[in-house]
Amino acid sequence: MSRRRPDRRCLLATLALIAISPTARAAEGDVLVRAGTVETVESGPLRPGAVLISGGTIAQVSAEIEPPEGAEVIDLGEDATLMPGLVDADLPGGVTGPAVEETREITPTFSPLPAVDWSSRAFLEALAGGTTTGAIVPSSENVIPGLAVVVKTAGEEQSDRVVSRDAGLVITVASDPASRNRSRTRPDSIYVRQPTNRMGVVGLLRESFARAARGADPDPDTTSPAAGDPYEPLREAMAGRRSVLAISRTDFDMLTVLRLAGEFGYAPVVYGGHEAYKVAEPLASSRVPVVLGALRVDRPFGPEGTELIWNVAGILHEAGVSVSLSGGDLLDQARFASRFGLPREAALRAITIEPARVLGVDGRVGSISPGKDADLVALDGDPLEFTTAVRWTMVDGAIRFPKPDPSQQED
Amino acid sequence: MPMLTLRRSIGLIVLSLLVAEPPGAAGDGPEDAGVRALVGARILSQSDSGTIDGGTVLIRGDRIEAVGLEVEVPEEADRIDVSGLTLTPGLIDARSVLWLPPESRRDSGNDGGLNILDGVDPFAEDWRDVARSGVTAVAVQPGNTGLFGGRGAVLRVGPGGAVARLTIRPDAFVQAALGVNDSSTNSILRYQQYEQLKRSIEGLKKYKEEWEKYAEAKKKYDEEQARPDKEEADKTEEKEQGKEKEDVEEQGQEDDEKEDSDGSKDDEGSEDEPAGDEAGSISLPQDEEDDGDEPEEGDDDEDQKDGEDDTDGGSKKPAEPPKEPDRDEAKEFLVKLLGGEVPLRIEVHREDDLRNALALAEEFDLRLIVEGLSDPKSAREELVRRRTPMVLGPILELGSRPPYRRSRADSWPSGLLAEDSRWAIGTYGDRPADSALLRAHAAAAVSRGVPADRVLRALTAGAAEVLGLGDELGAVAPGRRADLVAFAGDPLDPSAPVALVVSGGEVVYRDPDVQAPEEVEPVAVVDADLPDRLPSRFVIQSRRLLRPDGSIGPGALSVAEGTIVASGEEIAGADDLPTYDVGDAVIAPGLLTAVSTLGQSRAAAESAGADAGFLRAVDAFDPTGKTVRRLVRGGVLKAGFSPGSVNVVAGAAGAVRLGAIEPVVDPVIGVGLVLSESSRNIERYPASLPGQVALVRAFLGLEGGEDPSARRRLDYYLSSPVIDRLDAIRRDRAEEIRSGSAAALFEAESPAEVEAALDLAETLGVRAVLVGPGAIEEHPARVSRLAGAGALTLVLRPIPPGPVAWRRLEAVAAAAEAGARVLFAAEDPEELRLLAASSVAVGLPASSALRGLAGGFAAIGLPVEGSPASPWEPGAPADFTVWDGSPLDLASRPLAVVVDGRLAP
Repeated sequence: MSRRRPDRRCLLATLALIAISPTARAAEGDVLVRAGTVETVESGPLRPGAVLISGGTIAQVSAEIEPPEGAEVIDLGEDATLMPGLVDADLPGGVTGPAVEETREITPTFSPLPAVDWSSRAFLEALAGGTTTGAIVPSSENVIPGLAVVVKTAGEEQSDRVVSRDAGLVITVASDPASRNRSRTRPDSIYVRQPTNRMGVVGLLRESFARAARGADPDPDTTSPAAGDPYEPLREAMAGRRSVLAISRTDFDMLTVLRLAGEFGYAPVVYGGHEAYKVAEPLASSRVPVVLGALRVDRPFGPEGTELIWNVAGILHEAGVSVSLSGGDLLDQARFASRFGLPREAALRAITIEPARVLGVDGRVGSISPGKDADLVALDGDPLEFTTAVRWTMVDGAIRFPKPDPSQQED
Repeated sequence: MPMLTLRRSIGLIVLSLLVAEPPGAAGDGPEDAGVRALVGARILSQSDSGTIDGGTVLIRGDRIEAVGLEVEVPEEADRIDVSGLTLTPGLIDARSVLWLPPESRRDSGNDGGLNILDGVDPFAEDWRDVARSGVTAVAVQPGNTGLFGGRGAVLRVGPGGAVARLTIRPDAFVQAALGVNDSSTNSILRYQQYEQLKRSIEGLKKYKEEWEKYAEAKKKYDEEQARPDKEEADKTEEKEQGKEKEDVEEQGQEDDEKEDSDGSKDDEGSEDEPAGDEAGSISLPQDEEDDGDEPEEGDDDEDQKDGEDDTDGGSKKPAEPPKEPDRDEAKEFLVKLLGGEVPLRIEVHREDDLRNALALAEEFDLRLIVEGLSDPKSAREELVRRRTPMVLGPILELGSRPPYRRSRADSWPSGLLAEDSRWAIGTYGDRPADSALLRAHAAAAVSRGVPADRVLRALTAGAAEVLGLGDELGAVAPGRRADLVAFAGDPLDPSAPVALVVSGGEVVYRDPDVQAPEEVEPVAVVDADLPDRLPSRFVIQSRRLLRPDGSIGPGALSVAEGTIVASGEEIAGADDLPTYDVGDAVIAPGLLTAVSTLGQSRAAAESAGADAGFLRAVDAFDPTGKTVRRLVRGGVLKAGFSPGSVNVVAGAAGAVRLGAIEPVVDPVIGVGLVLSESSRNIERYPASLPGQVALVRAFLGLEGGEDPSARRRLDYYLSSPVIDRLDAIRRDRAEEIRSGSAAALFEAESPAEVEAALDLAETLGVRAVLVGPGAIEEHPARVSRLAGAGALTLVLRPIPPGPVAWRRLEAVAAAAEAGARVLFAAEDPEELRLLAASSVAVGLPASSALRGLAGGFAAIGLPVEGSPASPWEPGAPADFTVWDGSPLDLASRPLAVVVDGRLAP
């Protein structure tokens, strides 16, 4: 009975927040946010700290700032922490229909952007957890699924919410693309696709990069019939102008990623990496960052059945690998990782600046520093404490969470 | 048994006192207990007071306190002005699944042990959509999959939170069904079902008898337990009188031995043993009786006693008490069926099942409520004679019709009803919000020939009577529950908006923007008086001709050889022609279902290649198809016939005249571009929305040109010259869209799909038709921008009631205000008109709705070859329908359908 009745205090707090929220005048007025702790991420914590926001970007970061004339001041209090908006390198959901064009295996020019449902609940949930920027990654059903795009989780105009239309070429070095394919039983069937096993996946990757390298015509059996040269993104990757986001989970798949990178000369990022702790050394020496998929220890991942340990992030960090956390609930994941061995500073970086670098958007997001987008999360305590809650989330200088949404008021 | 039930009901009362008030309800208290006055409405009271014009209804708490012209409104009352509106009792849906989660809607049982209140989700939010349609009470029961489910209840429509707060009447009836589930066509199974139900009820009877027998035996036993002692005590007393002193000792002994008997005599009710208490209280008067005819029995007793006195006093009582029968919680309640304390509500469709049900009622003295009744044949007389309460529905068949309802006549249920029938209407929906369609079903009943006043009664007082709540609901009268609805117009017209809904004294819905409608004089039309065959040349005239702009006024049409040769208020020089004056009947152009597959989607689709731009739907048109015939009967004579939506580029939609000799008007009025899920296919390109967008762009030549290798793959079995020819057709079609001579018919559903369609429409810069129209409510700014530029047409397809439907219809009305054209598409004539009516109810102007419904192909906003700009233009085919009211009013029905100047069968 009382479950459906919004907690009055919570409601009042929400209303109060809305009242002081600079949403309406984000563009014109300056906003000064003070907090007991400001985790800048790149230049250490400030205790206390203050951030001046002007025109949707961060103007000044300092221990104490005198509020300019007419500026709105939000004082979060001594216990509160202000940190940069979190960056999820693999935002779950937010797409209408499948996030991959599964009818062909090699679809390097595929972009999930037209399928993004800007009003999706997934964005609201991310926002509630402090995530302000997320990558939408084409899923691993294809050998080369396409391009990752980076978007803000909130904003007025949809075009303003796109941070990067091309954050890297996604390839799959795992057996996912093979799992639903059928082998050729009838010679004339048009519904047959290869590969049907992991070797085939790697073979098709190698063939595609080789064709792209020598400028061959697209293979009509595997490439998409959409306009444009499907191999162009591959060539750009080989020329070092584009990063390659390689979905792989097991140790031997990651070694294959390194081998292929060596053969074709592209810079890979490992996505998934649940068994990366076994190959931390080679990953570190090739300077390959790892974006860990959502940490889950109750059952194995993927068709391969990965062996996951709890301190995979800590081991990678210790070996010198850049670690990002991804796949939703970033704060909880950082708390989990730090509890099992990832140092505090690395845990904070793993949900902010590291994924921003992986996605090539660190010039705009990922830390609190002048000139960057005013994407901020106000927490009512230490970010890595499980009892800490998100007080509000600001995107481009406007508080977007909480908003008067009944689903958010439940409990 | 009686005591046990009593004890249980006391428990229930205590329990309900504990749970009735949810902790948070305190906040609602003041509002609940408020005094309200609804002033100025035309009150259709459904009670003895009849219709009261400009009366006042005074509400105190959850009850109606006073009704009438001279009701004094207290100072503190919250006055609500409802003048110009029509006030009725809250409508009652006699068969609903509101408040029921999916499993409770479906599930049932065969032993009557269920209680639907155990399956109610009091937190469900669907009631809002139902409330704002004017429904304030619903009857719910276990599903009809079980032949003997259990208890049904009557629930309110209003804020929930606790089951007790929702319940108007628990245990209102017990659900049963015969011949409904998979056995409906299997005679043996049907017979077995009847046998099983009969056995169940026999079991109840046996159970009741067992307990009665037990009660009797117990009584006797207790009596016999008590009597000897008393006799002895009496005797003792006698002795006492005689020989006091002697007996002091004796009595002392007896006291020790027979404490009970003394106790029961001297200190009734104070003893611990409950059975003893009862026996004592009952046996007392009987003792007196015994005293009355003492001679014989007294002697016997004394004889016995004499013998027994010598032996031990205890052994003379019967050795064992009667054995208590097994207690069955479900049967404890279900025995109330016998004798009719609680009615058995039984769903039967066929004559034999109905007769079986009536026989059961006779044999076991049951009170019946019957529902279903699709084909009762001669058993109908029985129903009429007994005035058996009936629940009828669904009257509009939306969606697929289950096998047991297929035998219903087109005029069902008007043939079932007699003047004094006791009946209610049920919506029989699958989704909780389907109860919002109650008025549509009611209007459909009117269109099938049931007088409107009796239909309104069936929604209110009639339903209350059927459900056994005649003193509680269904009338605007003092003492009744304050369930009231104010309509802006005819309560039975679904296009009349609801202004105010009061449920249990609470205002649960209010739309202050609803305006009182203009006074319309009711016109009763029963027949068009047309001959069986129309001559080749004739004039038809009416005081109500629907004009292309959506207005209605006097007019006449002159028809020659199947073509309209003249039209106007009067036809000059037509004296020698046969002239038919249909009086007040409405002459309307054939209605249009704008983008429809006419039930022929399978014929008109080809799924191997997602780009089927070369296809024409009209090539697969079957003029005698079932859907087509049904549409013609319902006055729908024009269709934008479109291919199925399994392909991204679905092919060309054509304009066709239904029922006509030469049906095809224009083979290409637009090309279907499907962005919704239905055209994503994992077995061929594309399987994703970005792929769909890319394919549409490629088809329209928007970027990069075509990819020949892809075409080769898609048309794998075709030879090159054929492929080249098909590609040429594709290019032509794309050119037609780009030049604006054919419409881009976008099918989109989710927000992202609609956005992609709007993107494409803006890029193309041509008139876009959104079919569905999908989640336009998520993109209000872009939609109104396009609509304002005159570049948007929305085709509304059926959408089940619920919050999405409401928001979507509101968005459609807003887009229409901004300048978008609105059309409707459905595969059933009444569903089509319901769409238009529902749009009007949320704010679409009636003239816009009529334009979309009856404006012909011109309403799409594109040139359609071979189709006149106006349906009454000379040279236009003589296709029209004579209605007994506005086609926008669902209660109207077509009296005559004319195609090519001839009456359609």
